[in-house]
Order: sequence, then structure tokens, then C-alpha cells
Amino acid sequence: MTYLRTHIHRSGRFSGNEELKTLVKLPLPRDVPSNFQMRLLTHNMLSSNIKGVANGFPLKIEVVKVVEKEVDFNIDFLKNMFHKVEWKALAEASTTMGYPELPENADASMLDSDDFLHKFHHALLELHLEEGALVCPETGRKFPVQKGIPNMLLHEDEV
Amino acid sequence: MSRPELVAPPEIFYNDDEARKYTSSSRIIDIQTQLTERALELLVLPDDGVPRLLLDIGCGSGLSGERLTEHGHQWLGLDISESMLDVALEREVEGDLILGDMGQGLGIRPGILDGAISISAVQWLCNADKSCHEPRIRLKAFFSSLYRCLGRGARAVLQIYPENLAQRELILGFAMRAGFSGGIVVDYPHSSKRRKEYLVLTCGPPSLNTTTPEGKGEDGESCSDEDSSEDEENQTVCISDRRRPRKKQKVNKKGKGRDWVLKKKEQLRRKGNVVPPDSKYTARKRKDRF
Ligand SMILES: C[S@@+](CC[C@H](N)C(=O)[O-])C[C@H]1O[C@@H](n2cnc3c(N)ncnc32)[C@H](O)[C@@H]1O
Repeated sequence: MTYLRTHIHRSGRFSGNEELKTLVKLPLPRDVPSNFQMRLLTHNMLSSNIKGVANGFPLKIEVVKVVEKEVDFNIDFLKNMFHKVEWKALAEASTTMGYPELPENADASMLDSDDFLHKFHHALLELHLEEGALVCPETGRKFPVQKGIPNMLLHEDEV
Repeated sequence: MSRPELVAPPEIFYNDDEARKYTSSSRIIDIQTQLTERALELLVLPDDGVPRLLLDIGCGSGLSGERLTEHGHQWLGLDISESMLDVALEREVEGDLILGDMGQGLGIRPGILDGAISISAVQWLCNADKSCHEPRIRLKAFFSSLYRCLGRGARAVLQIYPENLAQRELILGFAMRAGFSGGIVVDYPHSSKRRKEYLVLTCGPPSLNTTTPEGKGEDGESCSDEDSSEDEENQTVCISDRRRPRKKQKVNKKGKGRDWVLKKKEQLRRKGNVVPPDSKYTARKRKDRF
């Protein structure tokens, strides 16, 4: 049977730069058992989709519970993401989540700095909103976040 | 064998029971895995080891997402069923999960995704599950928002189970109207069980690399229904498209052979049919003068 037996290449596996990896030793609570997660990466991608809303980005964050999780550092992914991320929204969200370490502005030249990369990595991938809400910047409508899952379902009259 | 789309709306059909069943069946796991591997292949992401940002539409329990993780990518999963997402949480998938309805349009910032996949989900849009549901409007909202949130040149590969030709045309039509180029890839077109369809869409106008790739098993080699021993009773797998082109009858020069005949008779017996007993004459070639 040869049906769809494609071979799996692991080259893309999150391994990252060994040299930098040793630098990432952030003191994270290791006893957090939950796997609930909503990264700021996701926050940076979501926008309010309510009918009539012209600019639904960025959603404001209401924090009830934040968890931190250690994630393997991958410089290629960070570089790929840097050009996609809305920096200001990320920096603000990070502050809201209790990590006010990102510079207000960033440009690509900063990607040469290890310090910058690690802060970017931490904010983008390791800070998680477990409970709280995302709030539409225009209408104030709240999208609840429970167990790390934002409920973006719209009501009939919002479609 | 039934089509779950005809049973109940997805958020009802995929309740706790169904969600649990979903990931405890090794056959479902296998199928989802194979479909996802093929979708990834059709996504043709650059092979440079850079993790991409992907969206899994109708991510469900995360079986498909796990394949994305396995290939080193970061992903976001969208699903309308809380029960399915709960199972994904239990399975500790690596992607972030969003509870949402693709038919309401994807609330994702423009141009940000490196690609999207969807496994066995998009045909759900063809149903009107609520009085306010109008499939055409929902398909339009879905495809136009998908087009917006993909980067230029990025692909979406959506594996679908259209109920019939009209549904396939409907789905494809809305994809094209949203601005995508591409088409449908059919793997194993001559096998009702193994036949699989993928909408392969590229964001942007047609060019050399938007040509739709070939399906697998097009040559009809070893993919007849008869030789597929694995019968996929999986409810989501059957296709009831009566207008599908007739299966090519492929008879090689020697005929089907004795083994084939014996197997066929055995199958019919199991179905309870009256079948003549096997003997030394079974499947023997007739003399020419006959
Ligand atoms: C056949 S399952 C695929 C499961 C998934 N690929 C996995 O690995 O578990 C189809 C999924 O599509 C989801 N779905 C159906 N309609 C949807 C919609 N309008 N929006 C989002 N998800 C939907 C269902 O809830 C279900 O989880």
C-alpha cells in the first residue's frame, strides 16, 4: 500500500540556534500543569470581525490569569514573524500581560541583538492569556477567553 | 454510512461523545493524518527549515494540527465545536485554538498567514443550519476573508467532501470569485473509497506556480475498489455523487485471474448472496471453440 505515505521531514522542527538557546533560561513557573494557552502571537493576528467595525485591531486585553510557558527558541521563526507583527500592539499587549520589556518601536536592525530577540521571543510565544477577555476597540464588545481559547463567535446581529 | 453534515449542525454533531470518538478511533486518526500530510505536500512551502505560520480551519481535536507541529510549523486552529477544542486541549496540541465560525468570516489581520489548511470541514458551509444561515453568503464571507489574511502567493489547501457536483462547483466558484487561482486536485479518482478532493488555492493571479498539481492514482493503477481491503466506514468519508464519471473498467490481458474470482465470490458469500461453490472449474478459461 503506497497510499499517501509521504515522508516526514523534521528539518523544520523547532530547534533553533544552539548558541542562543543556552542564553534562554527564563525563570518560569515549572509547576503550571495546564496546557491552556493563548499566545500574544495569536492576539497579534486576531481582529474584531463584527459587521460595521472599520478597525477591529488591536483587541484590548482584559487579564484574569496569565501563565508563562517555556518554548524552544527559533531565530528563523522570529525573523519570519518580525515583519508580520504589528509591533506597537505587541509591545502594549506585553505590558498589559505584565512584561513591559519590549521597546516601543522596533526595526529590523534590532534582530541582530540577542537581548532583543529573547524579549521578542518571550512576549510573542511564552506569555499566555489563560482567562480574560479580548475587547473590540470600536464597540467594546467582549470576546471571552477561557482555558486559553478566545470565543470569537459572533451573535446573529453582528454578522 | 451517512454524511454528518446532514445530521446536525457541526457544533451539535461534534458534541462531547463524537469528539471523544474522534480521537479514540485509530482509523479516524490515520485518515486525518494522511489527509493532512497530503495537504501539506500540496501547500508546497519552501523547504528551508523556517517554521511558517499556518491556519488550520476546522482544526477540531488537533489531529491535523499535530502534523503541522511535526513538520516544525506554528499554527492557529479555528473550530466551531467547543467539545472538539476541549479534546484538542486534552491532547496538549501546540497550536493556539480559537472558537469561531468560518462562515462568519475569519477575523484575522490581512496578509499575515504563510498558508492555510482545512481537513474535511469546508463542505459544512453548504448547509443552512440556522434560519439566518445562507450558504452563499457564508461561503463568500469565508473565502474572501481567507484571501485577505493570506500573504501574497501563499496557498490554502482545503480537503473537502462535497456531496455532489453542484456543491463542488459552488465551493470552487466562491473561491475563484474571492480572487484565488487554482483548482481541485483529485486523488484516486476511480476509487469511491479512496477518492479524495483537495481545493488547492493560491492567493493572487494565476502564474506558473499556481498550476494545479496532478492528483495521485490518476493512471488507475492498483486503486480499484476491489483491492482496497481497508473499508472506510468513517461517516465523513463516503461520497454520494451519482454524477461522478463511470469508473474505468480496467481488465488486463489475462483477465482477472482465479484468485480474484475466489475473493469476489467470498465477498458475495459474506454479504449473504447465493454463490456457486468453488471448484476446479472456477475461473477457468473457456476453450476458444466455445
Ligand atoms: C471532520 S472534522 C476535522 C477534524 C480535524 N481536522 C481534526 O484533526 O480533528 C471537521 C471539523 O470542522 C468543524 N467545523 C464545521 N463547520 C465549521 C465552521 N463553520 N467553522 C469552524 N469549524 C467548523 C467541526 O466542528 C469539526 O471539528
